[in-house]
Amino acid sequence: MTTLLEAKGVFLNYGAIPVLKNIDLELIQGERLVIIGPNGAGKTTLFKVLSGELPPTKGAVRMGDDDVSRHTGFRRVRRGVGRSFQVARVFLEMTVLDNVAVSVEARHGHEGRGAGFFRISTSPEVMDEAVGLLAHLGLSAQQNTLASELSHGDRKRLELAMILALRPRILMLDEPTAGMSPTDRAAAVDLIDRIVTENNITLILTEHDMGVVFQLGTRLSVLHYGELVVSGAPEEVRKNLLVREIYLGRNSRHD
Amino acid sequence: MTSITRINRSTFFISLAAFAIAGLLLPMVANRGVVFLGGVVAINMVYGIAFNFAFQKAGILSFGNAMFVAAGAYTTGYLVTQVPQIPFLMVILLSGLSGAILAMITGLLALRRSSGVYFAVITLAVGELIHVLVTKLTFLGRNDGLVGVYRPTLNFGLFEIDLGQGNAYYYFILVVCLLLIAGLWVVWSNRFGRSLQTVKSDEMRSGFLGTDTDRRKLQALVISGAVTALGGALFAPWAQIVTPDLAHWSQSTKPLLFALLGGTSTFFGPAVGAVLFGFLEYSTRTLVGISDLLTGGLLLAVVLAVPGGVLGLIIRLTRIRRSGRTEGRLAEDRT
Repeated sequence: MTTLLEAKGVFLNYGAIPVLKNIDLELIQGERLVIIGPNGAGKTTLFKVLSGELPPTKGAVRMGDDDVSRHTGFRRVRRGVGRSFQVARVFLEMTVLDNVAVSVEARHGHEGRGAGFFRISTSPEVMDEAVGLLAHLGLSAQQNTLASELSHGDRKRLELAMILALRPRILMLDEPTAGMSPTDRAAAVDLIDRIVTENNITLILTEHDMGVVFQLGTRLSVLHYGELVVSGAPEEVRKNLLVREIYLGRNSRHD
Repeated sequence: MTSITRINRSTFFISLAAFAIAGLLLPMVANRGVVFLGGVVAINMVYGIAFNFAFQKAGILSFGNAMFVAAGAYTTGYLVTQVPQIPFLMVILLSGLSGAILAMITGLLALRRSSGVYFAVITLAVGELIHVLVTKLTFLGRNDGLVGVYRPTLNFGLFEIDLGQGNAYYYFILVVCLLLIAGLWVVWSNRFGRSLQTVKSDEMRSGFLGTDTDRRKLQALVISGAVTALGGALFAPWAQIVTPDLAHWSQSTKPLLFALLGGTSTFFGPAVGAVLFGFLEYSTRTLVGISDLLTGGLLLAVVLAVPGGVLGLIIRLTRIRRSGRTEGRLAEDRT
């Protein structure tokens, strides 16, 4: 069992307000870890600390043997982290294809693969890869659409294509199905399941929908007021009385 | 749909060729005064495009033009008059380097901590500092500046070109400006340019694609500063005098005006703006007192009535005409 990403005694304060309190968390290669917890529990903040958007106030984030606590996002991306946002972030004024092409180019750039200074248009190799990724994610028909004209669900799909263009080892998805209709949600879950399996990616996600949680997760961790209170296999967590009280009890269709 | 991954080279080469031909023909049809203005316009085109490169590609609003111009002009002015043994092309390169270093220092100080208008104000402040500095430094001539900046001889070993003869220096300006514009077009269009565009579009997403966004912005500013300083370097022997006016903040508003006048969204927009501005200045030159008023009024009218700039308007009109034609054809097909 290899630990890919690890938080050790992580605290995070926004000013004087403690948001994360003494978080210990390990992400094991090949697993699908779901962080659940009510709104305001600190899930997105935990994601920010794990992905490098925010440095922890105290404690450390480690990747392999290295302390990456002070590494900003781009350096973690170069070590194999791919991250989505709750509201998908894509380059709105570019076409769908260009969005993915610049992502492939970004990977080539930090892999140190030269494109040649005087190469003006994107190389056919990059374009082929981008076209392939879009086909893979079912966005081929929208290839030449501006990203700003995509629906909410398709933007999330596009963001996923852009992240996959980076060939990540770890995929961090912040509420991947938030705001989707039940049909879109089912399709999104199937898609995530498929790409994670096919590309041998380790997954960590936050999610509100219990259907999604139990369908995708191989391990659950429950965040409550900034503390990880319970962690374990989905079934164990579901049975845990404390969890039922603070989260599932009020909210779940799985009672 | 315009795509940033499939660049149309022919538009660029045709436009550049048009500017080149116009520039080459100018001395044959115009008097010396107009030729002088032509050289200034060529340099202004470089200022405008260099400013717009940082602004439009990387989202950096910089009022650093004055200090970069001053850095280039004073370096050239000083070296040409005081250390004439340095080859002129080397002098030009050192002037570009001075702009790059100044941009680097400003960027390292301010780019991480500020953006948008805040960064613009910081560049304005640093620029004023430089302005005050050059008026106090004895070796830069204080308020009088450097006079007698002559046009030197280019020595290529096998042959020499005396830039002081006839229109030689004008053609030299033209060639260097076209090269600078071509260079800027490459970094505007290639992978580096696309990477900058992602930083401007969504810095957070760009960072999470593995791009060092702080470094990219710094690179863009350094390129813009270096190229602007190269423009300043060309200007010094053209005017044959370097004064602290070049470092005055009002100099920094020029490239912004060119860009707004011509249009910020296209590469050549600011170049078109610089040409139009040249026409404006020339045609109002005899109207002492109201010339600035007329120029200002016209600029105001363009910016208010044509927000995309003149080139933006032309492109829009051609698109409408073209799509109109297509619709017409479709209507014919249906009947």
